[in-house]
Amino acid sequence: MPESKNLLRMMEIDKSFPGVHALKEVDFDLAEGEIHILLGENGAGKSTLIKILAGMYHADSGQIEISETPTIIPDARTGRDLGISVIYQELNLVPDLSVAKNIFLGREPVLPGIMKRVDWARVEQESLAIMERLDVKIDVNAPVRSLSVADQQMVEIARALVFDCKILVMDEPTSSLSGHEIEELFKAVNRLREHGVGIIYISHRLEEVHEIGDRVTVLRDGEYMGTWEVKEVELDFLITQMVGRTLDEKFPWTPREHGEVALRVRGLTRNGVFEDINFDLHYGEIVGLSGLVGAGRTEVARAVMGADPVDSGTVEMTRATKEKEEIQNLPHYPLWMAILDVVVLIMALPLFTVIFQGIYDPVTLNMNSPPPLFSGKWFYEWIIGGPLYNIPNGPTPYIVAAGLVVLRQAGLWFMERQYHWRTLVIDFASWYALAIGAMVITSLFTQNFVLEWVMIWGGVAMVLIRFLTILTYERKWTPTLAIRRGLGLLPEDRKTQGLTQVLSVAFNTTSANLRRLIKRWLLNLTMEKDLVDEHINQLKIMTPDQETQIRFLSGGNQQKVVLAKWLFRRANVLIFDEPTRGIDIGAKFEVHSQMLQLAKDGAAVMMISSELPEILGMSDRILVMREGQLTADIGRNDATQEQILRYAMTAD
Amino acid sequence: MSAAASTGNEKLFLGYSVKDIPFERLLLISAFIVLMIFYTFATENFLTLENFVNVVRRDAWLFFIAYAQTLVIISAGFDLSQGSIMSVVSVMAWSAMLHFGFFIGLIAGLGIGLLCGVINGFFVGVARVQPFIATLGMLFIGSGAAQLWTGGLQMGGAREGATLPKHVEDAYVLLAKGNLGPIPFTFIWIIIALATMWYLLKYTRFGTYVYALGGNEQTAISAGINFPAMKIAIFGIGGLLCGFAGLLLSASVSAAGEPRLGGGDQLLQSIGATIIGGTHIFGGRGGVLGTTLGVFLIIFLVNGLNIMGIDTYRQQIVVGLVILASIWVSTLREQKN
Repeated sequence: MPESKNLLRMMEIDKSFPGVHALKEVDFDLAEGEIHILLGENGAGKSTLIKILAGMYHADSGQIEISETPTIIPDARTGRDLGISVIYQELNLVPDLSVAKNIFLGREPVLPGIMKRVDWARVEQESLAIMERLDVKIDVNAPVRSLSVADQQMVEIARALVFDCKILVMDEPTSSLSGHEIEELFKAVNRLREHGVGIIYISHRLEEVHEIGDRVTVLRDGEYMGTWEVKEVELDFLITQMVGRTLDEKFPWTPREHGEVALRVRGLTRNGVFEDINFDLHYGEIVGLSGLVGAGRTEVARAVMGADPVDSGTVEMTRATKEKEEIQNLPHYPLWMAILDVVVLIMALPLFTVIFQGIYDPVTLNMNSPPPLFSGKWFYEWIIGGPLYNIPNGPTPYIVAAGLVVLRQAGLWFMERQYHWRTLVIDFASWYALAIGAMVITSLFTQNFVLEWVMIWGGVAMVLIRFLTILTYERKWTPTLAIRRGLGLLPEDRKTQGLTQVLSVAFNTTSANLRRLIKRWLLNLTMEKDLVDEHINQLKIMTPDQETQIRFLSGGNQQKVVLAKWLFRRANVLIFDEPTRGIDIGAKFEVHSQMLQLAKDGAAVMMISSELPEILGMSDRILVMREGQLTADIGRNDATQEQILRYAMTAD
Repeated sequence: MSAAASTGNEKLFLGYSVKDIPFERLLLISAFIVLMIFYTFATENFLTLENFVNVVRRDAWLFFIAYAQTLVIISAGFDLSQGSIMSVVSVMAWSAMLHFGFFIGLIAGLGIGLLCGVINGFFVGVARVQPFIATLGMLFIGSGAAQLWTGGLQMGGAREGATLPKHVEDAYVLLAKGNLGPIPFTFIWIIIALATMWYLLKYTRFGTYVYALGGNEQTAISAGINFPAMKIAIFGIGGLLCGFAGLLLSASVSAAGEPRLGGGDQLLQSIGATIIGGTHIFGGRGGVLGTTLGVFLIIFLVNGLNIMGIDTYRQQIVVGLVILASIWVSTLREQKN
């Protein structure tokens, strides 16, 4: 860098959170008109450093100098007044206000006079000027809602400029942008640099380091590794600086036999989130899914679970059922169609009556004797609401019924475009095959009361059979189905997504599978107590008793209760999402032991983790994701931290 | 940089072109026109100036509480206490008029409306109670207070010994039924309220912050907007408008203090008009122009049904269907985008 004024210097910044030493005497400095890239793994302390700079956290020790003057930043407001702007990954804009209004939100110029009218013309002009300065073409009067993410980011940058910002922090600005948009962003950033703004740029894309960076600082595990001129360093060197977290943790890993395929994922795609994910998970295997935060790991897990919709791809669970479960591009049986089917059936009932004349003559019906149960009379009396004295002989009901059927097929065609034409044919054919079949079977009988019985209840059965038929080929992959097939997800946010905090251990364990406790329509509470005890002992859950509320348990024990819940559900394919986040070392080891024990007992385990040592220590096989794509599938013995990081951070 | 300016730049009115009018608004306008045409053919007396003036005069109160509701809903709030505020204002203003004359009574009524609104705003903005709950509390407090004040009876009118002096009562009635030349007073009140609200929402910081609070509260707060003050101001203005609506309604009904004045479906109509008018129920979008259309749609829908001789129960069903349909349309539009 040429000699330029020093904007910011952070010296020996130290910060601890309960249980974590987040920053260990970190140094950082920034010059005017410089882009300084901040690199580090997940949890290396980048965000903490930025939050200290922005005034959201307070350093335990250390000094901050801004423009060579020692400064204390007590809150976010002060930080902003000092000219520090942070653009977070989640954009901070009001979607329904226009771009110009967003840029000036909180600082609108007011015209003099009693009317207190905001000078919108000036707001618009100045917004245009800022956009000009950034050299981007955005209609400043359009609502922010209508802009792309990239443009919204520009609006954020423009907002920072209105604050007269000197230090701009960008937290992974390119993570959701496309190639062209990134170029635009870089252009804007370079323009800012020319205007003398110092930019701190956090990124997970190592390619970007050489593209726009002037200097780069690497943090590892809260430690300051060094600062280098970008021109002087290789990517490989940076990677070696980032990895190397201590491997002294113990992992209870032992080799196991792997069984058949438990979960087969093929071509799983959700546009813009992940793309073409393929992997197999075997029984008895522990597979680690690694990658940076935001690479789409959790999203894949949720899609496999059926919790989120996907655009294409299949998930197959082999042992539970042999049938293939397609996730998407499959029609369902909409409610309106079911209702229409029943209506058509009821409309068509007189058809049977007319074909087999004389079997039900309501005119001669003796109203004093109640109709026999399960007879046609009963049906007319109770379902239709009284005897049909005027069962029509003319063609009207059939024309109406036929019209409804045509309407239904047409509606199917127009409203549910994703239906494959084959499904339409099958749907149409099956309905009529059943109808004709029922009629033919009915006509085989000659005795009237049998006819009636078969006719009416056969018709009802027909609809039921149709529902069942549809179930076999029109099924959506939903969490309900996934759980029924034996899949269990231990979510990252176990406190809210995995457990009910204010209810007891026993309730949380059994609530996902109460059916298992039901005897003669009632919950068998004795059995619940025994079974819950069994699980508490098996998983070594530290709890005073079963009735203790979950919120009084430690993080590790809460995680074990989530596991107990799935074991109680007899799940044998388990996906752990960040199973040991926020858990102390001892409990970590226990969770790992349980995971291993499960695999030994034949369950298939997938573990999503941001901690490389955990991934390396526990997995038999390691999958790496990068920006929504599976970039590597490495065996345990071949994997190293450097290799995983390279797959996670750089494009091939 | 007018890069996005439309090619067909036909200016309609005050510099707006057709393309600036949102789809929902066009739909609403066309629905209104269709309704008008239908009633014109279905009834005899619908399309007369007399009918129009009568309807707007009788239902003028709805405009005010609908504007109040619109303001509150845009800021991602909800005001359930509107009917109660109307009741309280009705009885208190009547009492004040009895002792101190018309103008003091008028100011007392507005002041009490404002006070109720500010209390709502205090609970929402300072105590951070959910608007739904805070105003639910005010709903009960208000209706309880109104009935306590009068012992549950109507004040004035039929009651012995307590009637407003003649000139006061005349002035009170004039508020709702008077004319300025050919123009009814209520029209003037409505236009003043509409213009003020429109100006507030469009051209002042306050209005922008109302939209910002509704669109993204966190962003608004981090942009330095004073959340408690804004909420107090929003609910305060809402209360003031409800107070005026209460005065108008009691003046047009009987010029009496009626403790159950706002106990009917006034609140529901104000919410209905706001929603039909295109204001987003979770805030951030909408405006008083749309609400005005919504009010017009509701009052003329009901008026036409009245003329056709259709009973109140069926009318309510129709209003409900219109509300459902309007929400459904906007939901469909949103899903499409």
